[in-house]
Amino acid sequence: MEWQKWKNTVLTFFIVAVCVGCVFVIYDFKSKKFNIKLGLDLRSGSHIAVQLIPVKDPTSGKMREIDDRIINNTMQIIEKRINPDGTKEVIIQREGTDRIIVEIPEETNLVRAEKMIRQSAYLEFKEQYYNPSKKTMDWRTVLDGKALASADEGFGSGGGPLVSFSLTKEGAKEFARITERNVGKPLGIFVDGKLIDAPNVREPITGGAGEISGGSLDIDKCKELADMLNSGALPVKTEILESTTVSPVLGEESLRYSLIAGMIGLGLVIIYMIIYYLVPGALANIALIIYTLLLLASMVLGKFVLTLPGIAGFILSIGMAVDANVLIFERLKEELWGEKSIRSSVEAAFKRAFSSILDSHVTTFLGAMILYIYGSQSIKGFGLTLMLGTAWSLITAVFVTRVLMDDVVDNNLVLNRKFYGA
Amino acid sequence: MFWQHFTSHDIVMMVIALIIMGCFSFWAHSLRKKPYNFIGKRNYFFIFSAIMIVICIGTLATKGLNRGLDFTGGTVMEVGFVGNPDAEAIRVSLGEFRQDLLDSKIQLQGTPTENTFGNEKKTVQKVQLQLKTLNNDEVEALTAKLKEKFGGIEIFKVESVGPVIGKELQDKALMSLLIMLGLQLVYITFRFGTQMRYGLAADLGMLHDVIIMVGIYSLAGRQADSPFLAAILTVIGYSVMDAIVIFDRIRENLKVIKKATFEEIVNTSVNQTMTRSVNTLITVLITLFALYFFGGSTLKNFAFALLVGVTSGAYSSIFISSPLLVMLDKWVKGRETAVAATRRNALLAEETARKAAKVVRTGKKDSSVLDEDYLDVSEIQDDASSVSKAPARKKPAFRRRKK
Repeated sequence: MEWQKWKNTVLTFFIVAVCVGCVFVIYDFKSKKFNIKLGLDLRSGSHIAVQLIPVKDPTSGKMREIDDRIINNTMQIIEKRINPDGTKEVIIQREGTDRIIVEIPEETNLVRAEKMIRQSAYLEFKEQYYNPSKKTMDWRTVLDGKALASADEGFGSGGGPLVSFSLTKEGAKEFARITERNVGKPLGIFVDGKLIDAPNVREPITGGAGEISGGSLDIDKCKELADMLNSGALPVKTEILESTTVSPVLGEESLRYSLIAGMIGLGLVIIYMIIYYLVPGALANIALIIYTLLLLASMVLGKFVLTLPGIAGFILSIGMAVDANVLIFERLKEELWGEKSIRSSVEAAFKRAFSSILDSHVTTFLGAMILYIYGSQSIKGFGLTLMLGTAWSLITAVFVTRVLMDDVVDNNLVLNRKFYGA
Repeated sequence: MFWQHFTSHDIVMMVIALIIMGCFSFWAHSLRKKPYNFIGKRNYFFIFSAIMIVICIGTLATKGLNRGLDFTGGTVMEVGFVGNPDAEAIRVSLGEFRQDLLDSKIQLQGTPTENTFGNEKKTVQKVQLQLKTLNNDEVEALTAKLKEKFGGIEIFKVESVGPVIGKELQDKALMSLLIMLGLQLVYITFRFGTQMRYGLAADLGMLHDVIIMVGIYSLAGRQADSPFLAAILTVIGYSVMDAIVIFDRIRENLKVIKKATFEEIVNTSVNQTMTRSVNTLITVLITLFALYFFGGSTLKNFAFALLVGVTSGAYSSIFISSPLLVMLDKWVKGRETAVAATRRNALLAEETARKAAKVVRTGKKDSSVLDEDYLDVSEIQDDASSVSKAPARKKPAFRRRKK
């Protein structure tokens, strides 16, 4: 009996503690920022889906199957190119068996983004030889990007931009042999089959280091080339399946408007609930705010990204979360019309409304789950928030509202049955 | 303040929507004291819905559905033009860029609004261009061309979907719709067990809502895209849930109210749950109207689909599913009585025939005296030959005769 007396107080404190915890999870008081990760459609950036296509292995001549190793390798290479210093929040995700999704925040130039992803950056050193069939001088590959250790952009002694590179041990040995037999002749440097530079070899290069410069290379291009060379060549061919870019103006607008719509919706629902259901309505509103906190906190803790359809799902779920309370309070009214005390009416209302509440949550949850699993990228977010929303609203509408109701009823805060809707 | 972003039109419409919903709330509240005979008037609702469905299917058949870019593949550009651009001028430049872009869809979105680009403020009109699939280089070239023609334009959004993805998304969309319908069916069956008429009524109501949604989208020429699919799945859930709540009350009332026909019980239940139906509808609609009027241009299409679907869902569970349940019940009960009657007649006939046969076999003709003996003997015989005959069907008939 002691416990019965204290039970509700303990539960109330528990709810308050959880709420405070949620606030700390959602809001970072140190940096005064919300911890929720926003999707690209709410800030700005590019989203690109890439199809990987197998190519022939240059050494064995066989087709390379797209397997886990190749996909991971490709993802690492793309990551290195887009995010060389690891400071951007780039998302590179595998989809299905042979696709990769790349999301680059703040990048709104799709052409540049596409180039960074797709350029295979296959480096070749070629020497000239006399082709007897064509009766001209022709290029022959003698060394490729595998011999490269690292590359860096910089300025030469003459002030012109260049890319300096160093070779691996074996590469350096091979390079020394090649330059030795080509003294006085040009050595072609090709990237993706395009001639970048063809300097004349003055003396054998044994140090395993060299420079690339050319007419079309300015300092930005040099940096790009150096990053490309460092990341290595892609082991596959690529094709763009889908690409989207959102400008910061639109992202900010979407965020602002959807939040305002959410606030207006939430506000009007709160007003309606108080007008219609009085005391229980006010308690349901508290539960609704707790519901919002829990949903947002679980988004943060689950490391989920909040997208625009996600906000839509969230706003919709506010309306649906109230449904459970509506079911309970309508029951409560009916129970109060009889001779029952407020206490037992509340008990009966919660008990009787539960099966309907469960039904409504299961049917909504099923739809949301299917959307989350099978939905396209653009509606996954909607499925996610709706799914989380139905799960949390079951708890807040039934458990939290009950505890709050018991607090009010047990402490005889409101005695007039009229205020409960009778 | 934030409302300066909204047009007075939107605000007025929102207020009107709120007032209408308030009226509905009062009406539902009044049903407590003065119940309305929904079931008795069912033919009006059926006719109304039938007309709606015919219109919807008709438009679908003739006009088809305007499939969104994510299902057909293509490129959508949202471009801000300074001042008031002329759609025809834009079309001409699209045609100049590439001949086959001449028949692209060009839609002005909302009214010109002031936006800050970098550090300058511009009032731009947002225009949506729906184009054939362009690759990123082509998009850049087209942007340059439009910039040259119309001065400082701003790109809000570019979305390109290749035909491969489009086809895939469409297949996935259909699959998820089928899975959703299947799961709801399983859940309904689980919920109502052998009483299939409840499940059937809820399903028909749900089907009604999906047809209305798709039909109105076809009628309005709106884009049916992935968010539209999301809206359909959500509405399916809502519609089923709304019907289940009423049906639950019906089953509860069946136990409590003894002296009433099924029709009366259904009508009472609909009246009792009306405030709940209306209040849930209103709270959902409030949030959806807020999303539609104030949620920005991107979500408008999605909010519209949900507004149509949820309203239809609430309507169908009250005015379609519940009366349908009454009709199904009548049909099932009518069939049950008919089946029972034919079965009894068949049994009686069979019995008479066998008795006649036995009389012939045993040669005893004064059956009126030894009637009881006959039956006893036949019962023993019956047990012995139960392998070839179906005893379960006969035994009750014999017992009935014995008493």
